[in-house]
Amino acid sequence: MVTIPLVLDSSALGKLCHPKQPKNRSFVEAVTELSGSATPYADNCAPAIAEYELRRKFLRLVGRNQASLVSVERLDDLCSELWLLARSRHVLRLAAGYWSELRRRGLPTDASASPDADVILAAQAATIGGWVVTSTFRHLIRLIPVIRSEDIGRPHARRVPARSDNVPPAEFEQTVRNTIGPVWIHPNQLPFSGLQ
Amino acid sequence: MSLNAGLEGSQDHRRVVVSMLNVWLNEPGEYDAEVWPVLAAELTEDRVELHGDDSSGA
Repeated sequence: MVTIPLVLDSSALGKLCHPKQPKNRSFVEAVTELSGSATPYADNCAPAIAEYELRRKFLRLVGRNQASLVSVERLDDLCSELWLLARSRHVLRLAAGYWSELRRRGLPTDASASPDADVILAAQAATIGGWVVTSTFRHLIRLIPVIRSEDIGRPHARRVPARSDNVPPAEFEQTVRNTIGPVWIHPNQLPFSGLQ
Repeated sequence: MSLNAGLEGSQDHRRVVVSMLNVWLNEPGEYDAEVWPVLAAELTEDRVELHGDDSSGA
């Protein structure tokens, strides 16, 4: 079975935890449509680093009485069922390569508050050939194919067609790409193979 | 495109996730609408919205 891993960053995970928010509803519905059928096109992954990023935000809001433990419990429930990507030594080695290469190219890895999270997230996605789903591109687009969460479930997106086992992988990928929205790939994206 | 190599989530797990999301979508109350703006601000406060390519180098 051919299934494309959609690697959810903390913002995408946060949307799934709060699906009733009108801005999140179309994203959640698209994600469930892509992954919920008997022959899914996409498999949703929760990288450990994204769970960490989101959990600390939740706990901060709970401490300020701006959120309740409902958010934390939903994150627990989701991450117990989603395909969880662990932060292995291999991932960290790859992430270190990404970080040093970005610095070598003069890109400001310290421009965001969580550059390490970015490169680790990218490394986790790269190890499984996944596409990162995110609201903010940051420097991820230089590391890994990216889909904006806003682009998933756009009204103009085509409905996922019926699937056939004899569809060639390249054709299937194009179908999914056309269906769920544009995948951004930077022309100077760092080569995965060269950093292992 | 790299494909999964037997590491993907199981169909049972995917089904549970969809069921879970449907329950949350139909829960009464306005919790999500109240919390989301604050959370969204937290998630983006220290990040740069690039909306595509950044041209800071290559």
